[in-house]
Amino acid sequence: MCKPPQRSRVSKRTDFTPDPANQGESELSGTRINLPLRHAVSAFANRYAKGRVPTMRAQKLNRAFNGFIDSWIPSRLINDRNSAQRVRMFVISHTLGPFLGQTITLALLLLDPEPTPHVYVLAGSITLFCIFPPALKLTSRYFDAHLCYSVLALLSVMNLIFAVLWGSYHYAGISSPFLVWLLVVPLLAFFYLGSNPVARNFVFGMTGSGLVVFYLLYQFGGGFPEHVESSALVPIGIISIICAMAYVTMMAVYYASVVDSQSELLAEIERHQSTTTQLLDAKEEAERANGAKSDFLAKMSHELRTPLNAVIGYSEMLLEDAEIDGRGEDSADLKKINSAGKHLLALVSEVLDLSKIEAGKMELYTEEVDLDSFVSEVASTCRQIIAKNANELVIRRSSDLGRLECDATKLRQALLNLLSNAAKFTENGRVILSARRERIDNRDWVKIEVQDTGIGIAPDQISNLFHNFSQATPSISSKFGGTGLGLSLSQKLCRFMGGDITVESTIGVGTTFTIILPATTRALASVSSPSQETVSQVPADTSARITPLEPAARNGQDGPMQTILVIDPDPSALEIMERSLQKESYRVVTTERAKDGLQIAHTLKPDAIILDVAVGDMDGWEALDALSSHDDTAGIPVIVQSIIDDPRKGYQLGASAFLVKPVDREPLLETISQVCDEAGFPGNEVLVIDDDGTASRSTVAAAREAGWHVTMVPDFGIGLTRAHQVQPDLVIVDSDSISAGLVAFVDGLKDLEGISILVLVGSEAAPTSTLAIPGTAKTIFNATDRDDVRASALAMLTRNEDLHAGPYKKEAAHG
Amino acid sequence: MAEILLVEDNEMNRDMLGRRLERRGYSVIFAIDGPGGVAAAKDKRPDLILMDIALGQMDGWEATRLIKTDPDTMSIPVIALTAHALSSDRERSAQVGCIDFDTKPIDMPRLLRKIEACLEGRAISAA
Repeated sequence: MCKPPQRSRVSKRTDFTPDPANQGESELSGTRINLPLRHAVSAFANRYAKGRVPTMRAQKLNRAFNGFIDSWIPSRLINDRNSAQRVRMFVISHTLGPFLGQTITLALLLLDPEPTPHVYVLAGSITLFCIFPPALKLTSRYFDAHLCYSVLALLSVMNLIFAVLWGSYHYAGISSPFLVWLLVVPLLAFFYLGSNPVARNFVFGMTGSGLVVFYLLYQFGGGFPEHVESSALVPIGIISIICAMAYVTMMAVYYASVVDSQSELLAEIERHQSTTTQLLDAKEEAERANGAKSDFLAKMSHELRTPLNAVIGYSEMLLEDAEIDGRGEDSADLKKINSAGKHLLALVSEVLDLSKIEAGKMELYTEEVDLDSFVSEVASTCRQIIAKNANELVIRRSSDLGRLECDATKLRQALLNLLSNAAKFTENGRVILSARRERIDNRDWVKIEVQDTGIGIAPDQISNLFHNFSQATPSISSKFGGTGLGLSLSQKLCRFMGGDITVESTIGVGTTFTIILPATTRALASVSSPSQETVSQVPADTSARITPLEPAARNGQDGPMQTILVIDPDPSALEIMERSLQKESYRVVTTERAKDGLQIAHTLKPDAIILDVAVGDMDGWEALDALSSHDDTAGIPVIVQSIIDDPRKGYQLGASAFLVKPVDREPLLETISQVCDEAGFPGNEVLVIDDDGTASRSTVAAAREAGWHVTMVPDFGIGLTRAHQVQPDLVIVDSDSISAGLVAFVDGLKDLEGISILVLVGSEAAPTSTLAIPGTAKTIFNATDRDDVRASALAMLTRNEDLHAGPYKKEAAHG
Repeated sequence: MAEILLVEDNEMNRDMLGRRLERRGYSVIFAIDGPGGVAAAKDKRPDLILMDIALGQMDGWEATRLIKTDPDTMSIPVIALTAHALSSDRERSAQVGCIDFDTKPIDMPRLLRKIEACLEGRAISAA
């Protein structure tokens, strides 16, 4: 994951820069190339030979060197952002260091008339550094890579201390030019190991005890041995000091750059914080403005209605007078005033209703409605309007209509709007009002259709139909009147009640509008409207809220919209969640309390639940457990959010997905649509066991792309339980290495009939170790290629029988 | 004929609704604010009170509460008239003891049905 960035830069350039190595070849084969082309090629090559080719060579070298260094680093460490850079430095030091160090031993060999054995010991000690990279590679195959690295780094530091003190002791003792290298020890050690106290104590302990031994040898060993005269050591001493300085400078520069980038980071954080403050200010400002808008609308509501009240009332009185007195002319004019007043009032009401929905101030007043009599009542109200254009009203209703829980006033408003639209755009035709019950996704729905034989709506105009102030065409508004608010409002009202309005139309044939509503909305009403008992005990902002939907497109999705219940103790988090989910056309129910959440989940049966386990009034894990263990709610996918990264616990208690807070919008939406899609999926069932959380992302993506239902679990124990619960068609185990747990897991699946097992093993495992995997599984090594995984998995699903019948074979596909 | 007390602060509305009720044979007395309404209810003992809610200092809810807590006037049915058809208004009207509830602007036939129902001693559902 953390690859050196320079690599990609290099590879881009090599594509179009001529390779100097090939230049000779093109000269040789020049006889076959025509002359002008050959000149062009060599001119081009010469031009680049001056400036770019050497840098390219250096880059190539650099790339080769990086590749060489990285080849010694176990993938586990190189993929770990925290350790990759340290380990790389470790390997570089241990590759280059010994070569540089041996120059000193060579010089000593020349200077010292009797080098045996002390120079050879020094040479051995310096050579020993070379074996650390291969040792790291080798040991991390069998043990934890991080542990191997730490132990080897400590051993290396010990060796360095020994080499420095040994060299110093034998050449000039305490005034030895090699002693300065002791300063490099802590620098290197802490670079390798970081600032952990164990390493610190170890390094100080080792250096200290080394010096004590150094002193004791001097004290009781009869002073420092004099192999060479100190004056002879001067040149090598100067070189040694310069080298040590250069080394320390390099490290110091590195540390300085770390400090620089850290302070840059701090500055960035500060800037970020100030942006956040500004955003919060802007948000508050916007909220104030929105509040002012709502106040204004509420006031206007009163101020507009009072004069309208008078216009309508007085014109009605005069109309009555005129009719009594038989003044027909006056009565026609008065009727116009009266109907204009009523029209204006209807518009004012519609605008107010729309603003109320948009400001989240619309309330639901739910009651039980007898559908049969409701339809009769609406029909009798609109009969006159429909008869106006010589239309016939036909009513069709099924016998099992029963009762509907809804806000009758709002449903009536929406339905009358559809009916009056139908009447307006139809002449000498029929308006059919039909009502029936339907069962979709285990829930009862009521469908009310208004079908007309009118002028119809062109397909390209349908998409605009439900937008505010839009009518099919401008000519329609001039001919038929109206503002285009009615349909938009009707749809919003229905969505607000958990349903929707959809439309189908053919030009010249007619239009069908369909209202679909959930038959039961009692749960919503009890938490959304401040009814007597909730209003007295619970402050409005702690109870659950339901918010209406933005007029966003529904991603081409038919049927009723999906409901998401969000349980989060933080009101601002709820608000953010609500907004982003609404934008995606989810219906959102939010609550700050887990107990409310549980109750809502039972009554409302949302399509998915997002639960923050830090919820205050009860243990969030308990709530999760309650949701997944109760029959009513067990089928609802729960996405667990937490600031604590403990997905294992989440999955154990039945979560469908686990997200660590803060969660970005995109991954959240992706997860929601995944868990919603997965619920009730009829296709192949695939269980993925992600042992170490590395490669499985691509595996899951491959499986989902193939249209399979994927359940993901983090370890073998849970995997085994899940496998027996869901009886998957295919189990994919994605693991870096082959462990006893894996073997036991595959063994534990023996009793499941017709199950295929695919084991994906990273490059870490030795091919021979797979012999331990029971023969029921197919194994792929080094499975980095998605297509490869998908092909194998697909083959296993389609050729299930072959795999189970035939003798098993192990394949090694190196990706 | 039945006597109706109309408590309404807007002169135009008072005039209009009063005349329309008189035209249908009711005798109408007026009050222009909450305290006046409470006093008129006590003095005149009308058969029915139409109470506007959006009054000045003392709103219609408070006036109705006073009327309904006074033993002399508590038996007089009160129909609340509000500008909003909110469920909270509906609940409030039931809480303070209104027998029924209607929204402005007045739908005359509907209001008349409610008045008749009240005078006959039964409430019909609010619209």
